[in-house]
Amino acid sequence: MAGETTIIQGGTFINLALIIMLTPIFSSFILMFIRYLEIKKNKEIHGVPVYSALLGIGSLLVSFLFSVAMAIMYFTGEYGSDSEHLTTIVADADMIVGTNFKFGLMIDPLSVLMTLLLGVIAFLIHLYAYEYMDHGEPEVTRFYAFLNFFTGSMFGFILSGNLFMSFIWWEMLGVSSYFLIGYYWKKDSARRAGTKAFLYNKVGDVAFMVAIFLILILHENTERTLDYHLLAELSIPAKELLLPGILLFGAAIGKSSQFPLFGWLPEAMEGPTPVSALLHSSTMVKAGLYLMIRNFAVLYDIHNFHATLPVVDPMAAATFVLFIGTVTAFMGASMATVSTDFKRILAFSTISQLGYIAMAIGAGGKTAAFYHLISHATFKSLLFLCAGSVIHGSGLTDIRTMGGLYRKMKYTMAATFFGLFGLSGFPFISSGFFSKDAVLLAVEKSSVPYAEVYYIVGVFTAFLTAFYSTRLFIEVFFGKTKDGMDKKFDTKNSNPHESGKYILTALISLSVLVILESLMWAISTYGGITFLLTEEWLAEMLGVHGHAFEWSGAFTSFGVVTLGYLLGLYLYQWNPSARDLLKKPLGWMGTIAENRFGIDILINWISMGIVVKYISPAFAAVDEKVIDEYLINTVISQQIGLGSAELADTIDQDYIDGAVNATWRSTRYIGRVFRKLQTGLTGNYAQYMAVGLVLLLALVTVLNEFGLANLY
Amino acid sequence: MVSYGILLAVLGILLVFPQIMRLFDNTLIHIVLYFVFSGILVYLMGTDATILAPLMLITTYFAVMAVIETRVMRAAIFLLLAMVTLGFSYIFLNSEILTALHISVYGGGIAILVLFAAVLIEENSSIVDERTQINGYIITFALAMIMISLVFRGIPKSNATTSIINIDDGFTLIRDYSYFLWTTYTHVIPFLALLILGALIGAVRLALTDKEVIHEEKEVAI
Amino acid sequence: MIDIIWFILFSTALFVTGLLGVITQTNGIRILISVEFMLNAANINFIAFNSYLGLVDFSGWSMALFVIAIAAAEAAIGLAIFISVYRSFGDITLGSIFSLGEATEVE
Repeated sequence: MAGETTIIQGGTFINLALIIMLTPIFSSFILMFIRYLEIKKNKEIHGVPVYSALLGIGSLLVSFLFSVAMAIMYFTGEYGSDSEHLTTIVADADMIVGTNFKFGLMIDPLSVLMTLLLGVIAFLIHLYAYEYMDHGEPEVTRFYAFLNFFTGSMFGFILSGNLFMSFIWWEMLGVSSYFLIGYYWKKDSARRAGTKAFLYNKVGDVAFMVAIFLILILHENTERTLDYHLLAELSIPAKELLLPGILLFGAAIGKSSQFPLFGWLPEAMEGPTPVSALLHSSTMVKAGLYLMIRNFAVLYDIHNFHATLPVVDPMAAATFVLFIGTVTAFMGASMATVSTDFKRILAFSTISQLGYIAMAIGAGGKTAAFYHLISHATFKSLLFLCAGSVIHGSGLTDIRTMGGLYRKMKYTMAATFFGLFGLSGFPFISSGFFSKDAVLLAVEKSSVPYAEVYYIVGVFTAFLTAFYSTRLFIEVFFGKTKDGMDKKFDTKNSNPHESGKYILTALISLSVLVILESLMWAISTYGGITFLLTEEWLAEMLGVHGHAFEWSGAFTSFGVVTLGYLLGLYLYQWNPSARDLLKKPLGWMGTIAENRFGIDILINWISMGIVVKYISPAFAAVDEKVIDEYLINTVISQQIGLGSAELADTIDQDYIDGAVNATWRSTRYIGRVFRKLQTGLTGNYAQYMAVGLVLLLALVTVLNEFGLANLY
Repeated sequence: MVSYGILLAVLGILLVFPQIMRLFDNTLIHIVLYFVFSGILVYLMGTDATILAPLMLITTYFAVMAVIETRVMRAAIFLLLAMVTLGFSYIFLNSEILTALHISVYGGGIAILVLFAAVLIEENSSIVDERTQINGYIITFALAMIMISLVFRGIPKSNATTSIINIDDGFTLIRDYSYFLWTTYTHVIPFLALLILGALIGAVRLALTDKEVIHEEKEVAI
Repeated sequence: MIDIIWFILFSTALFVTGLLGVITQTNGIRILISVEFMLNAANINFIAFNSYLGLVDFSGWSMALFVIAIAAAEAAIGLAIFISVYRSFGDITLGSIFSLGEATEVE
């Protein structure tokens, strides 16, 4: 455990943090204004206008440099947080006087590291987008505006110092995600995807709000607070924290796409690839898990971490988290195995890896979780950028149509190799190996009941991860046709070319980062030295020690990962025709995975049911037939054709349509009802006033009986 | 503390008495009923209320009649009477000043205004439809119940928060202001009254000038 | 001296009467009369409390003074408006002047 922690108010770090946070947001507003000017002047713009690129990338450069500076100053300067002495820097300002709702910033090792990570990745992606978005889109200013806004909100979220501020930034993240997913708003599917993402996240937001209020009212006898640095010090019995813990994780379920609310993430691939790389692989989806790591004290009483817990009950929140995480990891990996769109595979893989991080949190391995968070962010964003490079260079998205690309896109291939190297956890040396191993170790040694079951599922998922990584790599860059010939790329229909310098810069930088991480962690683990950014060091910073590296776990990983590689190579490179043989016995599993285990269908059916039940009485006078026909047709056809992916799409349409129709129809109906109240007769108005007065007085009198409102 | 039942009974009598009075035409019966009900009220309220109970009864009678009466002129007359009797009851609250104020302003001012308006506007429309009437009764009944129950919980003590009589910062509380208004600077009110009287006379003069113009307009319009 | 509760009751009775009048009447002048009763009820309350709480600073009287002044001003203006309305519309029944009301047909 680290030594003492001091808390400082204000200072240079706060100014740094504010610069980091607010520069992208200001530049996003300026860009929006520029976009307004562009529209007014009705200019035809092709490619990326220089001014918006300068502003967009420039602001991120500023944030990146300042975040690096902040990290250096924080870890080596006089405030030096080292293993002896942790410093937390906070700043507060009242938003609503007299309540707990304040602006708040908190700078501690967790936020500094995350800011650094975000700074690097976001800057590289903004650079990447300069070349990626140049296919004649006239609205790239808008793109940079939204992307900057998102990055600024993410910085704000990371640096926020209390739950209320986190919630505000969280909402802004959700909004930017909606805008960015639906960026190509002219496409129907993109709009729907954006709405779907927003609505799924909204469910999590409700849980978040309830959790905040519960935490607020928890402290009956002590000072009510939402500040992180104060919350961690309060000793609240674990039974009271059960519901807030579960609800906070509910927020993570929505935003970090855990089971059962992961359906939005594959659809979110409708957005441009830089968006997928930045939001939906490395930063925004990590927001929920970051929140859980921040509020780790809600799940585990840190001070008694290693004490035996005599009662199972207080562990229920952690068990819940572990369970959901494991299910998500498994589902994500299995869905990735049967998917055929490049970005979709990566999306499902993200879901799976997020599940891993959640598993670590539930099992009590805060360090392992953050470790895996960092490494996953790096290689997943790298992988998405590679996907973008392939798509940009060849114009294809389905991996079955790719193959043999290694001749034309060597750099991209190398970068993808390093990305998958991390993702699959290449035994013994890759960053993914160390972090995933740490996660699995935490799960195995966890004090949650039945942890061994979860461990086994996690190991199996690692096998699947290695398998689909190999599959992806081979299908895209190599591949053999069914008769055993090497796939050569068909240059008649499209001309794949290697990408330009901006994209390559981003790819190479991130690959270098992955390699660096792997090297550093390898040296630290095998050499036993602890230095900056290694697991031991992280443990000191975060205050929770993981378990030391164990060779038995390493060999298990080595075993399953190699098995995955071999199986992938066998089925896709050495003996492709073997796939047909497997279709019969294992085809049903594939179908289940393709339909996302029916979760999306279930959610759509529940929502449609609730929507119809809620507004059906109101519709009695208006347009009932149309809605009935919609609903009856889809429900019946749903029961007949459950196994068809086409059907899932239709239901998707109806859900969105139904929801939108519900909103305007119910609004109109309510309008009609209330318009009847405006009679123009003063007697009626006097009546209304009198009724209001009576009700108010009655309410106060009744409440006074219960002691909730004082009459005197 | 008086019991809830007695409060309800008194309120009921106060409000029902005018209805009962309306049933009869004979003035003698009216007077007898008045004394009978006053007796009942005095019995319920305690003998301390020997003078106040009849006063309250008559005031409420006039008030209810003003509201129920169909002819506007009569309603205005009832208003006047109600204001005067109400003014009398202020004497029992040690505020003779306000008695004078009340009777002169309300009785001599507002009620006369209303009377004049009632003369100018010859309109005797009836009361609204059944539905609104029933609503009205329900609402007023509910309100009366609630207000009684509010009071029944207990009477608050004085809540004026800071102490008075240090006027270095001016009047911020009504305590300070009223202390001076009613003791040291009592002459403010009559002075204001004179001022307003002047304004009134001026307004009347102006109105008289305008009257000719209005007459002209009317002729042209026709 | 009788209990203050009776004065409060009295004021309640007057207020309720006034309220009934406001809700049920359609003639403008009668509504004004009812409003006067409501204001008076409040006045009685102020003065009663002034006396019973022994307020040596007569804040109750000041409030009553304000109320009386405002009631007088309001009655004057209200009646002036009613007279002009009567001149324009020939009718003072508030239920039949529809200029500000919502159309009653459903579209």
